[in-house]
Amino acid sequence: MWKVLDRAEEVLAVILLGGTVAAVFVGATARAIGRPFPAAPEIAQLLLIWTCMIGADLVMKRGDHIRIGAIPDMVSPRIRAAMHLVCIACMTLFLAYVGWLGWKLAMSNWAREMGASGLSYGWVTLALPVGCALMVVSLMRRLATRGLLYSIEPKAHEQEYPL
Amino acid sequence: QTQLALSSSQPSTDPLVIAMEEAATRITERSEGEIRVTVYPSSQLGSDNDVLEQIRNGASIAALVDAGRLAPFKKELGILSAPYLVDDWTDYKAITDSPVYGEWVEDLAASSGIRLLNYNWFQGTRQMFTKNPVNGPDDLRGVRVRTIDAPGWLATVNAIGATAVPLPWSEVYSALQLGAIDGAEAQLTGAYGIKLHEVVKNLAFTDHVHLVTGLATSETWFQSLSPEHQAIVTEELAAAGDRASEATVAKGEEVLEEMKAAGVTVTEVDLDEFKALVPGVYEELGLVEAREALTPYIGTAQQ
Amino acid sequence: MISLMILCIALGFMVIGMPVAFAIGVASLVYFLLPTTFMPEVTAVQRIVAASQSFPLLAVPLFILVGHLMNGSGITMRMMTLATTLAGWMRGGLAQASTLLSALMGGISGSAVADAAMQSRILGEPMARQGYSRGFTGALLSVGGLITATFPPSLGLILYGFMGEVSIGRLFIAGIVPGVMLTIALLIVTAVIARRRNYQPINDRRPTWSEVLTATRASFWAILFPVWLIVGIRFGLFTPSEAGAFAVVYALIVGGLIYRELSLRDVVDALVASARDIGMIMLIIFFSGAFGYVITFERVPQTMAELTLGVFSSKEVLLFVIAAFLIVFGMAIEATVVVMLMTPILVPMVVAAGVDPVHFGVVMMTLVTFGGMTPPVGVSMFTVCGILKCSFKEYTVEMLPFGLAVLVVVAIMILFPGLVMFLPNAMMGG
Ligand code: NA
Ligand code: NA
Repeated sequence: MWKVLDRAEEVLAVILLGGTVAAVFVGATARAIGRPFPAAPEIAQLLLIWTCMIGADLVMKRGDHIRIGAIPDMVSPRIRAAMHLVCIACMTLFLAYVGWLGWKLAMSNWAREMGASGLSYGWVTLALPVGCALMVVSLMRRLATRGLLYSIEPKAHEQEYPL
Repeated sequence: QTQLALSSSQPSTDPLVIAMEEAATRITERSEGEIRVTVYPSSQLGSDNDVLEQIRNGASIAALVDAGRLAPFKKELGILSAPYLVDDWTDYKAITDSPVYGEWVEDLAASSGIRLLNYNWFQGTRQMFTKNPVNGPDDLRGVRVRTIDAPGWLATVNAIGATAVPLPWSEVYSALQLGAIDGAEAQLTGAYGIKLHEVVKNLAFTDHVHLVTGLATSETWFQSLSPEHQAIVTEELAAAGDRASEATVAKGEEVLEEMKAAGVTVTEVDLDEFKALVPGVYEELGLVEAREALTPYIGTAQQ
Repeated sequence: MISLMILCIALGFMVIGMPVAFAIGVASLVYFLLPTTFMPEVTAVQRIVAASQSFPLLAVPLFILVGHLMNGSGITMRMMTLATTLAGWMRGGLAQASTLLSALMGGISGSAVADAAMQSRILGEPMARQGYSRGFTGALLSVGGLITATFPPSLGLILYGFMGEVSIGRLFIAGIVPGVMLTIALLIVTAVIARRRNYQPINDRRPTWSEVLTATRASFWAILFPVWLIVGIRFGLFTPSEAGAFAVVYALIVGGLIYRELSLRDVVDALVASARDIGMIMLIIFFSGAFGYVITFERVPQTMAELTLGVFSSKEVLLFVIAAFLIVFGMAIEATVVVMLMTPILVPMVVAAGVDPVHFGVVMMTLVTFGGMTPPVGVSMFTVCGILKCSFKEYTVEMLPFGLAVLVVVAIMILFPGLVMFLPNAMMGG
């Protein structure tokens, strides 16, 4: 069951990212040939925030968000566990609160239009609460399956950072 | 004690922001320090739409916005930034003094929590800056003109013959320089601010929109003030708007000379040719009735 | 001083190992929850969402995807062949080839860490077999990534341009000369060390013209990309923010149609891997949006600028002081975070002092990216040492001469702004 959902999330990420690239490309090409497609940048930005929130959840599932592990790695396992506990508690509260506020914001600003496309800005805002909800679920799953010490840290040190 | 943030998309050197700074000092003085005002220029608090959203959520901010931004909450207000509404920007005073406008403002406050404090900040009349000379609507055919990313502006620019391209204002200079667009519609001071005269050499006085703007703040915050404080805020900000408009007009004449000296060629166009093209815009934006309602106050400016 | 407190809370959470994005997010939310803050909490959420709605920022995910596509499309391996042909005959041939490879990849890839990781995987074992110490290999491959990050396109410069509202096109072109200077500096340091330790060449003779020609022809389409990039931006075919989309399409065409090495499976894998990297880096950027609001609302940039203005006698002194600060800050904190936190503060400061923000951007990004290659905390260092299994101590000792070379190049950049600025001024107008 989880496996199917995880797979579906990856497929969704692929579609969203591919759509982002396509929207930017089409927008630039259309303008270059003199037939601007004003909605393209907005569609790209809408797809971008959804790509990012889904992508962030994929990373959360691996416990692979960029962090500085030097100090926790130096201290005793008990202190390290305590540090992890503080982090996870704060992260969960943060995600829950931001997700809830984001939901309220999305609902309250349906009237706000994005501009050329005429789409509601609420679709943009909605990505945040959805992403937060997904990340809470993923964090709890990792906590349950990997235990406290590997919930926000990947098992193998094979992180790859883009910058 | 309370705080107020004044927000504008214009840079700190713009006459509007300078007038805001003056108003900030006066409000603090007259309220004997009870209202502390800080000015945030250059969209530091976010885009106009973002700041309006903060205001709707109760933030004590007053933002300088054009009516197009308020149209999603009160459709009729959108007419204030519609093309060829009046012949001269000073005609806006008759509109904002009218009971019709007063009703719209109260409706806006009730439905969206936005209090439109005034609408007397003239930012300049929008003109057409293009690479090739424009003598009439025909010369705009196929010309990619940058405009504001809002339905009203896109409709206006397309209606007068050009191809509207929405781009962030900060990207206009390089987009023109690099040839990604062929022109931009803007007011003189704004265009001079980003040195548009370095990349385009033709200016047509199309006068398509008199860009008057107003200060919008949070109704919740405004109602939390005592009547005396409300009076101080309202009076000082309205007075600042008048000073800012005068300064803008003066600066507009000044920069026009500088632009001419920098080699910009100015063309006068037959405005009637352009005016004939815009009735469709009012229909598209659903503003036909609003225009009829305002007709008694703006006379026969353009029937 | 509330903003200093918020910064300390963020750093405190980072130190105990909270993911960087969340440390910034939690600390910023604290500001909005303070009773002294007049702003509604929902503003924090709005700033997070608004951070995603910038068109230039689209370049970041696009160039991340380009990096993943290049490895699958055969571009990387062809570049490697060319680099080995060109530098293999020198003393320490494989090491010199790795530096050239960083420069060649720099024209398409925008990321120092991606370059260091890729080179560690394909060059780590061959270099060990050639007798290079693991520490030396790690240090060279890690610092070499700085070349890739400096040549256009550059993720760091995109982020800087986005945060500081500086023309990304000009920043790109301004990165070319510093990229060449870094390449030369690293080649010289490697040559000296190779002579002292007697590292061997891998080819017994200089390449013939026809060998160079063959290798160049094989990677012709990849070498051509930076030319398309600059030409495309210069002639208005696309804006710098859109260049990434053209790079993606270009990589697809070169890998899929010309080299015929990129399968649909590879493309999907690259998309999934990119979505992860994008989620990782963009979450930091989004949550930094709320932090940026705190800094703005508390008027930190203005205060800092007022404090520093007039204290320093010249632009150069100011730049050297900021550089020293960025080195220390960059050593301890992840590059993305430094850019997000410091750009809005520093750009108004240096502009007020009369420094061109494009010039400053290249200096700042070189230092900040270099910070990722130094202890105690450095993503490049962790990545390379993790793949090569070299100790941090050995890495640090071997990194010193390369680090020194980088600092000399930065000093030259600060003292002679014309070196950095003449290309962008000539190509895009002063
Ligand atoms: Na690069
Ligand atoms: Na470091």
